[in-house]
Amino acid sequence: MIARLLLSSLFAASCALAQQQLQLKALPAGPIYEPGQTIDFGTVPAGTPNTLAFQLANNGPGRLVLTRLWVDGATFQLGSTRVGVAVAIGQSIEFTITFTPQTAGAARLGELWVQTAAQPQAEYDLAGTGAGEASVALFEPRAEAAPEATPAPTPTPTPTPAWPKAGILAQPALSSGEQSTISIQFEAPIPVDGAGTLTMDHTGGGDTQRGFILPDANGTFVPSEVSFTLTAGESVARFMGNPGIVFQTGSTASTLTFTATLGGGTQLASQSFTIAPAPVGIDLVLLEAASNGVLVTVDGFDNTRTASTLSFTFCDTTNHPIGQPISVNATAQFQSYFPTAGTGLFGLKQAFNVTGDVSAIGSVSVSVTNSQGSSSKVSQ
Amino acid sequence: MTRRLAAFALYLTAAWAQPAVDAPRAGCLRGTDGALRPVHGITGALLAGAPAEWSVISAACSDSLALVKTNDSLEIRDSSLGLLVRWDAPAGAALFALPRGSQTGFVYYPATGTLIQVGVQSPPRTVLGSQSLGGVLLAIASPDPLHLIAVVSDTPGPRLVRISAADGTIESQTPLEDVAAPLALLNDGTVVFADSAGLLIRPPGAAVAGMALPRIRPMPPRQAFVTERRMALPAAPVSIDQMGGVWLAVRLADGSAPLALRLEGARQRTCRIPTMETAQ
Repeated sequence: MIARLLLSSLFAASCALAQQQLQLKALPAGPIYEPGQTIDFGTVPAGTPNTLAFQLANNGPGRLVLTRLWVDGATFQLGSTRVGVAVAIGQSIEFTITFTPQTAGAARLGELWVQTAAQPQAEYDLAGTGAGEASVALFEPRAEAAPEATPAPTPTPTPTPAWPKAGILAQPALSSGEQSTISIQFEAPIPVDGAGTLTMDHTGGGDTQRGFILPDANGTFVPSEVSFTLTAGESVARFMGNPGIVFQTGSTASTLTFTATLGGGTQLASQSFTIAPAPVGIDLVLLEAASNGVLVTVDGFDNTRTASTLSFTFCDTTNHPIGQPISVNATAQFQSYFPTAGTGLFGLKQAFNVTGDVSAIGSVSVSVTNSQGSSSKVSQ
Repeated sequence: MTRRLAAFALYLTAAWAQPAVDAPRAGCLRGTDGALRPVHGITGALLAGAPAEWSVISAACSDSLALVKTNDSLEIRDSSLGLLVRWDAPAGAALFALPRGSQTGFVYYPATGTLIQVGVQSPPRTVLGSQSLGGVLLAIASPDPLHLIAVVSDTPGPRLVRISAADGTIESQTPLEDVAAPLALLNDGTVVFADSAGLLIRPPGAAVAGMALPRIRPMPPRQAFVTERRMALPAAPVSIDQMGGVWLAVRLADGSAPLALRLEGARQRTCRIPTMETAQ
């Protein structure tokens, strides 16, 4: 009985990457499994658990964060694991998988999925045989693998789970400079366990600070793809056990498309969100004393990258304006900065000479103009 | 009236013909893996970059300096985390205070009980010797390069101590109600501390939450009245560190991504701090 490998070209590429750093070995003395290979639990009496121990070793070249370790298949169960921890070069993580056939018959199939923060997932097939009185083979959750224990007079089509309709939601609504929670919600309980990936593609501006934030201790940043698991009976996908994952929108206007896909390639849902061009968002204005005057710091984002002029209105400690607003044309500075920034974020500093008592200055209101209009903020 | 006249006499001109535009710096963050990373961005769009140093035990950053404690050394780094100078130091953690915009800072070593001033241009100088404060320092801050403030915990209870950096003279001591570690002390005297439900933010001179307000007469309009405020968090805080000139980094007991916290008047801004994954 040879289980077919179910690797798509995507997984093949993923595995090539994974081979560079991760090595899966059965304990205590091997064998070593490559992604795509089958881990055979052998023949086990029906109802009897057979537990095998494994080691995931990091052979370099870099430190790894194991973000997901998941087994699917009703007869396979993963022992407790330390997901979310960093694994230095030369270190390893150990875990167990228990195979418990409930009925007799060959080729109880399952899958082991391994994902690190920096790489797509690697997949290993799990196989085992239940000893005792023969019965129909069970294949979960994928439909493609169909080795038959015995010839059947009338082949039965492999059951394909009917997935309830799913939607991808963002809370709060996506806009520049936000961290929103993305969730995948189903209209009805999920029929079987499963796993898949949520990807984010964009049209329009790219952004180096746009991506998912894993719920681990370092908040590992993943630009475009994260894994999720599905548990039978639940109505929401889980990301490392959480019903949603934080997504940082970045600071560039664009259309973001999120797509949830099962491990076998079945698309569950897809949703696009448009982040419209907007006036400059000013996050912080600081007014500080400096030599010969004051220094004003303005941190913010311009999701159109068209910022041009600024206006500074100084006020005294009783909030009365001091003189006329001072206008500064920074078009050239912004146009020089943004093409290499990779984001719409900016930090601007402008010094002012002051003739008189600096301590009489209480605040400054800064206005910044871009193609969508002007916005302003008062120093804190 | 005098103030109005003074303001009227002010004359401001842009000192630079054009402003300087760069990526916004938020500070630096020590990860659970001991790596010290620069953090760039704004509220809702932060990102911790590639590590500048490993095996860091304690660290704090301002807009101009970073103080970094490894097991046996103290490093002064610039705002980009480039190494400026390294000094031998007692083993263990350290507390830091960084006056805004200054090229000097203050370091407290719990292992020896000493408080020192450090700078790029001069060797460390002892401000206070062992046990001079008579208690355990929980946090220090520096409103200006000439002064330190510290939260000291001892038998009578925690107190806020103001210290002259010039000679170590204790200038004042004020009892603090109900504060306990983990806590952070800001340069303006605001104390940010944890309880099981989240964070309590107590500005200097604030009324303590739950304290009955005096009913003598209504508050006059436009008069600021500072009060302690509470901020709910998803889990109990386990540490509060100075991430930058205006940012704190809060780690939670649930092991999730650290939170960035910035106080802005009576409001606070928070977001998660993601970390770019890089090979060691």
